[in-house]
Amino acid sequence: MRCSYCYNGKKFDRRMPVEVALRGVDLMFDTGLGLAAGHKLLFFGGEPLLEMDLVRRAVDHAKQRAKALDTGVELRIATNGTLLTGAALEFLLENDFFLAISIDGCEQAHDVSRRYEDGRPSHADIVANITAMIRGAPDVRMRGICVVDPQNVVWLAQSFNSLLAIGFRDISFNLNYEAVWNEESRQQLRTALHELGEAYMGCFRSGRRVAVNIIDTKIAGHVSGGFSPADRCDFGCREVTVAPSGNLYPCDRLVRQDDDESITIGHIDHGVDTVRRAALIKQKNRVLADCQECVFLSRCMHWCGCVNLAMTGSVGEVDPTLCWFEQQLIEQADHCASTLYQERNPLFLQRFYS
Amino acid sequence: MRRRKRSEYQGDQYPSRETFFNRRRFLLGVGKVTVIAAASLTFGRRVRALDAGGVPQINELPDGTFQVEVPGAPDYLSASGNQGSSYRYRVTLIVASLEIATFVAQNHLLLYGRLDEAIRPYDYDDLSVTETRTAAEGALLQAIRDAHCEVASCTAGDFISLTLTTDLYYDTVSGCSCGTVPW
Repeated sequence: MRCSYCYNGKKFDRRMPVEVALRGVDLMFDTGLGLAAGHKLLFFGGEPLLEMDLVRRAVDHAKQRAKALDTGVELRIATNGTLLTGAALEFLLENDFFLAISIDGCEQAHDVSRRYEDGRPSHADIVANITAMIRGAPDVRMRGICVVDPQNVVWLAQSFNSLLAIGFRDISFNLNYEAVWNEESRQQLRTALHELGEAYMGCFRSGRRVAVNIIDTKIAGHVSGGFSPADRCDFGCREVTVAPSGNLYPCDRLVRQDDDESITIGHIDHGVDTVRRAALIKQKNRVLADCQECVFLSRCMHWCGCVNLAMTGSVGEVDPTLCWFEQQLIEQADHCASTLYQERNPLFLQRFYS
Repeated sequence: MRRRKRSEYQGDQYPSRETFFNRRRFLLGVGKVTVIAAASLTFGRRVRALDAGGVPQINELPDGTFQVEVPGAPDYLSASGNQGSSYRYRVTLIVASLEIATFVAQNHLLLYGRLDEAIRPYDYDDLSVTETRTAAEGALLQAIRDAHCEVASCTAGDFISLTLTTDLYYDTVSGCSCGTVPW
């Protein structure tokens, strides 16, 4: 695939050696990483299904390690969906993988950016694969990962409905923070978020359970009194990303071309460099004086080092555009929640107050 | 950055979970136990309605019957209405046999799951004024005495749900509508 907004930069075609993958698994079990939330092993690329042999080896090893420790391991994979067929799919289903499938919604929204290397659109292939998969495995655990970009923002609500129709109940909309959002596209985003909010409320009113990250997290942030430190990724404390080179990063989004040492937190040969990690966490968690009295402070993602890096080149620098995005998301989420609360929507009450 | 001050923003017109549960705790004081007792007397059954809100436990009563207490009272008690002049109350009581009660006490998490299925979602509202409690209790007891009650069977589990619905509306004290009443 050659998605126009790919934050991984140019494709460096570097394969992960098996030894690195296995030692990455060991890192998780040996250091207690992920103990608080359970052991989770996520395969991420590029396209990890191109490396099924490696995935199988890593899964076997993880299961052996988990069994020896009398514990479990949850398996996850982020895939573009083009190879969700045959033996690879069978393996994923047999091992109860959670599938994070990159699909930008309706055909127009998806194909404007997500195309094969030769320029062909990919939406039809992916939908066909997902449809066939659901037919054979209706209980498959999956989430739609949907990039919202100035090029496809006008179809946001349409995309939401399209993903519901395909069978997704868990949808993650991720804004393309690195894109140029001019005044026109910002206005389009405002309108699109409103339309998405209406569709979201429609689901609650019809008793249809859906999860939409950009609305749910903002509502949850309000009802729980704001993000607590435990809600944050903690940038390498509970999650570590292993690059093919063996470099360790605090988040998969930061690997990119694996050429920026300033954001690595160690190497598979030496483990996590806690001093470097602590310095990065300190950078990203600082609160600007401007933000101190903001009513949205506790619900704002200003502490996301990955987003900050994408927008400003530094994990600790917050771009004013992020502030604008966050306010739009929070206001729309609050509109939905206030409306559903006033309606005493049973599903809403159950979801956020049980 | 475009800082937004609290005074500039009123878009979040829904409560935090803490506030929500505080309201629910307050709801526990509207006379539910009295109503449960009245319901038992009214229907004369050797079953016990379940009070809730504490640690699950089974009490053997002097008459040889058993009473089980399980947490989750807000699931049984509902109040709905509008801020201002009137409220309508609905109380749902759960009764169970000893066998079920024992099972419930030992597996109260399962009870929650069953209750979710068995009881229609409830409304919560701004019931908050102390003075309304007496009125509510009186209204409910009167409703029981007048048999303004309907008995329904739950579709899930073995529980029997007594749904007591009052048709009584009454005035509450002023104050709610201005939003100054503390929860």
